Amino acid sequence: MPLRPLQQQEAMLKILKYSFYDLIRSRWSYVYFLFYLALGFVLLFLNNDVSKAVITLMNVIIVLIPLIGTIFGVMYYYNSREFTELLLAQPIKRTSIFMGQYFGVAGSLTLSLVLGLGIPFLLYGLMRSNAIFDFSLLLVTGAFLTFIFVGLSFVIAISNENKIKGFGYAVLLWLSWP
Amino acid sequence: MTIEINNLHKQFGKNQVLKGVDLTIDQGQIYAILGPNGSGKTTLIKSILGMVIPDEGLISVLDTPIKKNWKYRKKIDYLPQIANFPPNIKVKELIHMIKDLRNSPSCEDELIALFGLEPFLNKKLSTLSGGTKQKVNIVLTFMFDTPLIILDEPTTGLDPKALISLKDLIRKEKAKGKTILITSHIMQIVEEMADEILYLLEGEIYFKGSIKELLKRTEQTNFEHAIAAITTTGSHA
Repeated sequence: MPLRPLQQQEAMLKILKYSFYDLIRSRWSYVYFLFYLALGFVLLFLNNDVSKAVITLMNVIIVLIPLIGTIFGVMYYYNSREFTELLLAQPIKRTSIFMGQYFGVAGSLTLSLVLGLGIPFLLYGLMRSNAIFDFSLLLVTGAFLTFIFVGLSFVIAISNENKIKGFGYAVLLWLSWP
Repeated sequence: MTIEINNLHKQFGKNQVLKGVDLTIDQGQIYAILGPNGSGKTTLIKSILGMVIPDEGLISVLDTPIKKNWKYRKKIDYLPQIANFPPNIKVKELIHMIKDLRNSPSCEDELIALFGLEPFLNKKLSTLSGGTKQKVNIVLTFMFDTPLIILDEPTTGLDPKALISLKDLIRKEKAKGKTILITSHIMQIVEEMADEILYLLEGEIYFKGSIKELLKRTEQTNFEHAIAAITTTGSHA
């Protein structure tokens, strides 16, 4: 049937939408957003230079995003396990459910990053500086890292029913990241 | 025949949970699935729902084999044992989400009124008490019209008034010719509601029959005692 893939995509998008709604209203998303907001302002204030701030931030996000991505992904998966069961009993394919949740988590973390860093840089006058490309590269790197590490954390959480083990592997994964 | 199960086996690691379950479930009856903790009740239900993939054996729901199929779940309503929902969305939004996902007609307004959930509709799910969450859970399950309803411990946390409403609701659904599977540890509910008892023990169906047959088999007059005595008397069903 030609309709089937489309229907499944629709179901995935619906799940994505609701887990995204749920997450952007959670305390952790605000904390994460405010952290980047504060970090952006402080670095711009201290360096007084967009390029230098971008370099410092690059160093920070390369370590921080994998940590937040893995821990947050694992935490989200374990916390929503019962609800996932309810979803699994609905007439939806498994992949749609997990993909929807995955994009919901990765999307909301990326949004916190982009808004949290975007606001201070725009206010500081990013558009008038010559570091627009560097700054975009910073955000793109951050987004990719988020999607990769949330994906890995989902793999860890799905294959480990034991929460403690799951968190352990998540931390190990982060430690093995250079 | 609503559900047909042949030779169902499932193992989790070294723990063999289901050891060859054979079962047929007919339409329009209320079945109570009973058994001690860890006897495989939840695994059996999850196998029917396709959440647990059996190691061996065949399951058909409404004459469709369920293997690699998900559309048959349109015909099942399931009430999970633990009501745990996304914490930051509102009750109204959750109901809307499930409706949105199932895309079928629903009658949630009646149920919301029945369980007195109107004041909670705009509250976040994280702020609700356990019993209220269970009421939301029940609304989500009963708001669609499906021929098969599976209830896993439906009475958890309900107050007496809600319990009466739930029982009426189950009776009403049965009158419409629906098949209902219930697991419960509260024998009073089972005695009141069930037409057939399925007793699981160590991953096998140990007894299947009506309450009368059970009392006769165990030579007891009290249902609760009969259930307790079931494993000490009589042979396999």
